Parts: sequence; C-alpha cells; structure tokens
Amino acid sequence: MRILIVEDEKKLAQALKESLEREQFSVDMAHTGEEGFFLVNEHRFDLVILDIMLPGRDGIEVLATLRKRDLRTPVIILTAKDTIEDRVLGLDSGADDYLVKPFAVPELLARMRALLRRGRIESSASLKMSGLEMDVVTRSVLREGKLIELTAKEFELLEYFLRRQGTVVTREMLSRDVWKVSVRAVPLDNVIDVHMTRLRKKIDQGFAYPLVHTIRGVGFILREPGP
Amino acid sequence: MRVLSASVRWRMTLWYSVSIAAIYFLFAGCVFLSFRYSCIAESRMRLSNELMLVTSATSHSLGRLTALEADYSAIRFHVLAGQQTIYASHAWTSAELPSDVSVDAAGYGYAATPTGRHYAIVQARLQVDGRTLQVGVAQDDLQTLENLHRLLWVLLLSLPGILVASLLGGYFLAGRILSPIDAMARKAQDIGADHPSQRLPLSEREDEFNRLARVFNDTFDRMEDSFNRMKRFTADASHELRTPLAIIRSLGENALQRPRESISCHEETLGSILEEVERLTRLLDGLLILTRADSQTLPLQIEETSLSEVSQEVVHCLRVLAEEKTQSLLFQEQADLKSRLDKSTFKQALINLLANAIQYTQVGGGITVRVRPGPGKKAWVEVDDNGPGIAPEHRLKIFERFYRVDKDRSKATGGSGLGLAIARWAIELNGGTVECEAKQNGGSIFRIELPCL
Repeated sequence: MRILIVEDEKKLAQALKESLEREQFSVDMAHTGEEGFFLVNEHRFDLVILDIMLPGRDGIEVLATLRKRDLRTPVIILTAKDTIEDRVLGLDSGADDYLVKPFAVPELLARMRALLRRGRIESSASLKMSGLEMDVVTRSVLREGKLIELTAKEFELLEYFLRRQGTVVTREMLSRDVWKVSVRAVPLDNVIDVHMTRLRKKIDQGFAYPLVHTIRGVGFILREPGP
Repeated sequence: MRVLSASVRWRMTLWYSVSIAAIYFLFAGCVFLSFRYSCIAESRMRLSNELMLVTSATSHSLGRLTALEADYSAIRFHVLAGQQTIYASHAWTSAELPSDVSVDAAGYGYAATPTGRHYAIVQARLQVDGRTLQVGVAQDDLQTLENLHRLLWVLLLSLPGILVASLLGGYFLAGRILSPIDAMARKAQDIGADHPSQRLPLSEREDEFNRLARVFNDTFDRMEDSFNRMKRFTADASHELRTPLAIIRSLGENALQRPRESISCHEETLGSILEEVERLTRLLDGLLILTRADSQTLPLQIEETSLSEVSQEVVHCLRVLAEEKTQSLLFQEQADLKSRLDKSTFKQALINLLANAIQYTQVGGGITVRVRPGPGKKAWVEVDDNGPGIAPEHRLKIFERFYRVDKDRSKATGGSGLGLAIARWAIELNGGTVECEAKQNGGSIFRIELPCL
C-alpha cells in the first residue's frame, strides 16, 4: 500500500513515516503544497495524509486537484484548526476524514485502516484470539474453555479490542467509540481505567500470560505474548 | 456654531442668557404698561376735576365762566351750543385746539394741534335752560408722553448691559457647575489607565454628582474585577501549561544523560512524556472550548430531552468511579421532567459535576443525583454529596477557570481545573444556570436549573 504524507513540519512527517513503515506501508513524503501537488498529479496513492496549513499551495488546493482528476483516493486531513467551519470546509472539499493535531498515531492508524477497508463488511459473530473466544450473539466469553462473566460495558470493551487485535487503542478512541463522548475535555479517563482494570482482572487473572497490555502514555493493546 | 455645540459650558451660558433676557422683557413690559396706566389715570383725574369746575360754573350762569377763567387762567376750556362756541377760555383759543374731537364713551380723547403739541381732552354734555351745552376741557399731555418715552428708552438701553451681565454670570455659573465633572473626568482617566484600585472621591452631599461618581465607581469595581480575573487566568493558564512542558523537558534531558543500556528506563521516560502531552492536549481542548464559548459558534442540537434519562445515563457511566471509592451513588427521580436542550453538552456538564463530586467526596461517602421540579416552570438537577463542603469564599469562584480551593490537594487529584468552568459554560449554553449550595451538616449541592417544558 502506498501512502503519501503532505506535511511541512519535517519532524512530524518523519515520525509519521516511521510509524507507517512499521505497519508495512510504503510512504512518500512532500514538505510543501507544490511538492504534494506535483506528486498527486504524477502518481497513484492508496491513501493521502494531508496537512491543511502548508506554505505555498495549501492543503485544500491539493485536495481539489486530486478530486478534479476524479481519483477516489481516500484523504485524511491533518490540521491544528478544529472549528466547525474548518471541518466542514475540509470535508466539503472532498476529504474522507479529519484529525486535529495533536493526535495519537494509533488513532491515525485506526482511521486509515477504516478507510482502506471501507466497503468490506467485517462483523463476524464470533471473535477469537489465542484461547479467548467471544460469541457476539449469545454474548458469552470463554478463555481456555472457562466461562468469563462480563458486565455489558466490559463486553463492549472486549469486543472493541478483539476487533482491533494487535493494534493500539487509545483512551480517546474508547471514549468516542465505546462511551460515545467525543469531547476530549470530558474527564472519562478514570472511568475507562477502572473498566480496563476490571476487565483485565477477569480475562487475565489466573491464566498463564496476560492478553491486555498497557502502553504508558498511549493506551492499551490486546495481543499475544511476543516471541 | 461648532464651539457652541462642542462645549456644554457655552450652551449653558447661552441658555442662561436667553432666559434672563426673556425674564427681563417680561419685567420691562409690565413696568412700562403699569407706568403708562398710572400716568393716564392721573391725567384723567386732573381733567375730570377741572371739568367739574367748568360744568358747575356753566350750569350756574355764563357769567361764572368769566370769573372762573379769572381765577384759574390755566384751565383750557370751551362751551359749545351745537356747533357754536358760547365761551372759550383764552388758554383754549391760544392752544389752537380743534373744536371737534372724537372721544370715547367716557368722554376722554386726545388731540394734536398744528403747533405740534399734544393734549388730553374730556367732554361732557349738560342741559342748561333747555339748551344742550357741550363742555370741553383740555390739558397739555406732552409731559406724560415724554415721561413714557424716557422710561422706554431707559428700559431698552439697559438691555445690552443686562445681556452682557447674564452672559458673564452664566459663563461663570456653568463653569462652577461643570468643574466637578471636569475633575471627575480627569480622575477617571487616571484610574482607568494606571491605578485600577483607586476610586472617585464621594462627597457628603447626596447630589447628582455624587450619584454620577457612584455609578462610575461601580463600573470601575466591575472593571477591576474582570481585570483581576483576567490577570489571574493568564497567570494560572501559563502555570498550568508550563508545568507539563517543564516535566517533559526535564524528563528528556535526564534521559539523554542516562547510560544507553537501560531500555526499560527509556520506556518509562517516554511513557511519562506522553502522559504529560496528553495532559497538555486535554488542557488546550478545554481552553478552546471555553474561548469558543465566548464567540458562540457551536452548533447545537436542541431537542426535547428527558432529564431523568440523560442524568441516569451519566450516573450509570460514572458509577464505577464511585464504586472504586466505595461511595454510594444514588439516583432519585421526583418527577419525569423534560427540557429542550443539547444532549451532548448537557451530559458533558453533568459528567463534570458528578466526577467532581466523586473526586472530592471521601472514601465511603454518599452522592445523590436528583431530578426534581424547581420553583416556577423550572427543573432542577442536583448533585448532592456529603463530602467536606466548600467554604463560602470559594463557592462563587469555583466555577472560574483554573480556580482551585486547595492548591496542594488539587495537584494530587490531577484535574485540569477547567471541569466546573466547562460545566457552567455547557449549562449556560442550554439556557440554564448552575450554582453551588452548602449543606448544613457538611457537603454541598451543585444545582443545575433549566427551563422546563
């Protein structure tokens, strides 16, 4: 998969490139609007990550060029401006998603994955992961054959993690997707942490190795023990 | 004209002069008219006295007239029978008075002679021996006229003097009246710029100027208050923003100086840095919400909402936090009340209030969220805790950005200091108010008041 990052802040662009390359994407970079403009005209990308405030030609113009060529390449806009008008302008110009700086890389990855698999339905009724099984229909969870009792919220949480095995989930993602509160200033972190602690106790305690891991300062990940 | 419209002092002077002039005209008119009236009355009295002498002599006999003239040679009189002059005194004929003068009903009239003199005349008819006689008496009127003219001139000539005096006096008076205002303006200018804590001096007398000064002082109070709040906010905000930055910086510097092999140490450092970044982000988001609140550009989805339903959702969401502190968290619904509001901002507010209550109530305490009808067509949503309570001096200020009751303790609880400010903003956005009330036996009630459907 070929990704274009148009971002004038070189440190941020480099950090993004490294994160994406670790996820097996191949990445091109442009540091100015002109460069981005040239690249989207010359090449085909599977996804474009576009900063709006750029020197020279701004991101919206690059986006307009891309859409004029009638390419349905998904575009994620990055910006420091988060007023409603800016959001509307970006989405009206043909962007598919919108991220406000500063953002967590796992969040960006999650949105990219969502855009790249758009159209494919992925909602199997049974989710599995190294000895952990979840039946979404009967709402039962087993680990190594042992039935685990979960509250409704814990079940929702675990389902969210199982659908994103091996990827980092931030508190912000949980707050927005599981608790449906999208404002970052609302103090739900403690609520999330309590639920996570309880969930971990139930699915990890008494088993050979833990599945839920905390990544300090970032969020949580559900993964099998590494090699 | 520009000068006149520009200066209140000049306008007041002008008004003053105009009114003085008007009063003077009125006064002068009255003086002149009454003087004229008394002159005329006096001359008529003299005329009627002389007429009486002449008529009594006439009715007696014509011979008496000669004797009368001999006694009073100054009396100008004549006696007519029809058109024919029976007798005319020497004074009458020498005055060249016309024999036919038009008179009013009382018999009085005036006549001007070819010699340029002016006479007042009285006529009377009487029957003597079957004949109708007409008696006329004349008096020189010139003195009266001259007196009247002189008075008129005196009155007119003193007008410029009066006007000048009134202009000067008006200018002086206006200056005296306006000088406190000038002084006030100068003082106010000083206060606004450099000495926000000073006030205009108040005098003993409760007059208009004192009231004006009081109004100014009230305004200055409010200005100083908001100025101080702004200053405190800026200081608090920079403090709150600098702290995470300082932590990040020192963590990074320490990590660079540490030996390379300790990878787990680096992980620890990076985790801490990311946590601080998270804190900064959250703080910025909160600040942005509040600054945008001022410009009011948030699109709201106002719809009919059951307060119990939303409140219950919030209670349900935060219940785990209370459980962790073994607090009892109750929800009471005294009535199913509906209000028109934006659900997401309202929830945000209630989450902040309830999270705040859980945070500051001790382990094992109790919190009740209550939906109940308030006075009038209002709905109350209360968050009632039995925590330590809030001292009265803090109660109003806790809704201000970054206001902290206890600086040391707050650091440990890790709040951003914006929670209650955001709650108040969110409630006001929905047309409600939020206040904090102390309970008698400790603890406090945070009460949201909303218009009810």
